[in-house]
Amino acid sequence: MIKLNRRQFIALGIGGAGVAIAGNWLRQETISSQPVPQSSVDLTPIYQSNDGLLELDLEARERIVELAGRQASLLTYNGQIPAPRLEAKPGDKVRIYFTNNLQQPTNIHYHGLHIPLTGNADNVFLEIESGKKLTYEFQIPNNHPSGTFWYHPHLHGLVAEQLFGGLAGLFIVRGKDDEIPELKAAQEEFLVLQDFSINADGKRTNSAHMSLMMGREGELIAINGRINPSIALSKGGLLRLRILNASPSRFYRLALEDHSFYQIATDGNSLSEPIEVAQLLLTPGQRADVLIRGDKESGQYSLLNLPYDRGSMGMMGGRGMMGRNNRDEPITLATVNYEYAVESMALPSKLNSISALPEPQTVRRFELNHGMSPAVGMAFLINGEPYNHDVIHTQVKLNTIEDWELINTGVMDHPFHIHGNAFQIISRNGQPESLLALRDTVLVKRGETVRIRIPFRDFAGKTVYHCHVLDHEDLGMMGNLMIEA
Amino acid sequence: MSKLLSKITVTSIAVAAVLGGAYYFTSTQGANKAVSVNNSAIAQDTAQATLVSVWDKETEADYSGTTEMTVYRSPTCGCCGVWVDHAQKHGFTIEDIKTDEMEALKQKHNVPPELASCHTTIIDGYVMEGHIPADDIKRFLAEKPDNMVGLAVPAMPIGTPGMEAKDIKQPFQVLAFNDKGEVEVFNEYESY
Repeated sequence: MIKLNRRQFIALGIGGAGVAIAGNWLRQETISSQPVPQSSVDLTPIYQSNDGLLELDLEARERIVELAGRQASLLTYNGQIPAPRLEAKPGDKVRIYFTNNLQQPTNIHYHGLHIPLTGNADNVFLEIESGKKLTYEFQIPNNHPSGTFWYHPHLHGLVAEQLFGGLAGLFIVRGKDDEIPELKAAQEEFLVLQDFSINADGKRTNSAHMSLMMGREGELIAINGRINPSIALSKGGLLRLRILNASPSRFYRLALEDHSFYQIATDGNSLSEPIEVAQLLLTPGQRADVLIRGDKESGQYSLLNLPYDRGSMGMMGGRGMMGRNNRDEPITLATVNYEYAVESMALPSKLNSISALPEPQTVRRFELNHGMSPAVGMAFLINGEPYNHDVIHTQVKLNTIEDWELINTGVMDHPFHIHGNAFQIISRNGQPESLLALRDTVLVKRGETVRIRIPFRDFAGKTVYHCHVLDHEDLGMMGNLMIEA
Repeated sequence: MSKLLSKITVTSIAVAAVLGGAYYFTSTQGANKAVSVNNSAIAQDTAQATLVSVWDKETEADYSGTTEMTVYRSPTCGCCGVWVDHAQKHGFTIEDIKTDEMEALKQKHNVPPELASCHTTIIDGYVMEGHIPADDIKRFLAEKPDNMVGLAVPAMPIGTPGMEAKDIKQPFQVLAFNDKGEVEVFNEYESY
């Protein structure tokens, strides 16, 4: 009788993924501006624009990095987990000298940025072969919102694997919202949430051994590459957390012990005023900016990840499936502490003015599910079709507004992301959405219908929309969007 | 039982085998280029080649055991239906029962939660859980290993019968289990 436990599995798995790494990870890099580590919780180097230009070398490469107290072979930008944080202002030029030293092709998507979708900008159809270089070059529009955006690979078929290897970083646009006095005075911290699956040998678990149907999840959850980092709230008692879910499939339902979140931005777009929420559900791809008032007893408070059921394949309510054995209990992801019960600063009363988008010219339906497709077999589908590189699935006109009805007829949740333009949620299951907010990724729960309103502005060209459970995207749940000038 | 169950992880299906990490769907629809203006589903081109399954070939031709099986599945489970087709192709006669009570049904038949998949099959007093190749069911019923109450392919590995996808064949194991929820490897598919 063989009883396979996890330890044995790990031992057996050693023969799996094998990409040569050692040797040149100490290689010096040419860097245009020297990165400086900043705050307590976040040791990620940052690159800021100077005189209207953000310029840097960026290399994707497998490296050995320290993760959760041991050496792990991960996919990195510039050897960092998470990737360096990039910061620019509206109007700035961005020039990234990118080198792909992965063993497979890749590219970069600038998630949430409203920039050109073609050429060497936010173009997901670029394919940069192993060993090749490409210079990304674009300008951030003068009227671009300030907010929390990010960058990651987006080559269809390899997206989940490359993000799960660690390739993701923040792209912050600094602008007028940062000048709001209360926000300026608050202590700013960045939290990049990633999960990893590493075997005893420090290698990444092979994709073939993951639950691709459900979407791969890892047993290690790291914030800024660290397990349960400490966030010391020092000044003024007001903490501004800028949180990114950079996991390929894992959802995070966050709560801070004894504290509320005052959410100030959704997917990098400021709300009109802070809204108090007890919990924050972040699907893959989503960001949230929140304020926390350190107005309780001094001490330590856990930032918790609460269980969330994102569906299964009709099996056992998902229990026990896929080794996701932690779904029933909260996990501490980070610890917020403050020594003195400081008189907390006031919250900003007004953030941004958002107006409701005008009525749409066109309404479309998108049905999300998985199923057997005659041509490719088991696949994830939009309107019954798996992704096909050669087909324009949706053609829209520049400078028009459309409503998209997103209908999830399946048994798993699907977060829906549209590249290039932010949208507003109009209704969920016919119930009007009360919160006026701009987003680029919206959760469509199983059985749910979500209506969104999207303006196609400024940039014509071909791009994509897709499920941000990236295994679902790689397995077909994506469509080509042509924005006609 | 639960104590023993906790020792089994579903990821134990993943023994050494290595599959390339790069999955691409190559296009077969070049001639079928179309812009779907209203985004209604485009009808599949009937001239398009349908996927040929590696599971169509038969290796247990001399099987003389029970051929009547009952398959329980959720009405929305498409891949379960494709597995039913697979079993029929291999000579099984199927009573196909669609039910929304799959969780209760699996509990009733003592399917260990760690081994759960989508559909559950009852044949000759044994439980067959998930996308098991028909030939493994035949060999199991011919051998009837001591103390074993059934077989399972946990979760839904892509590439298994009913889960065929063009380029992706995840390695998987067919596990035999007893009434204590203990498992042993009955068959293993590393590449197929």
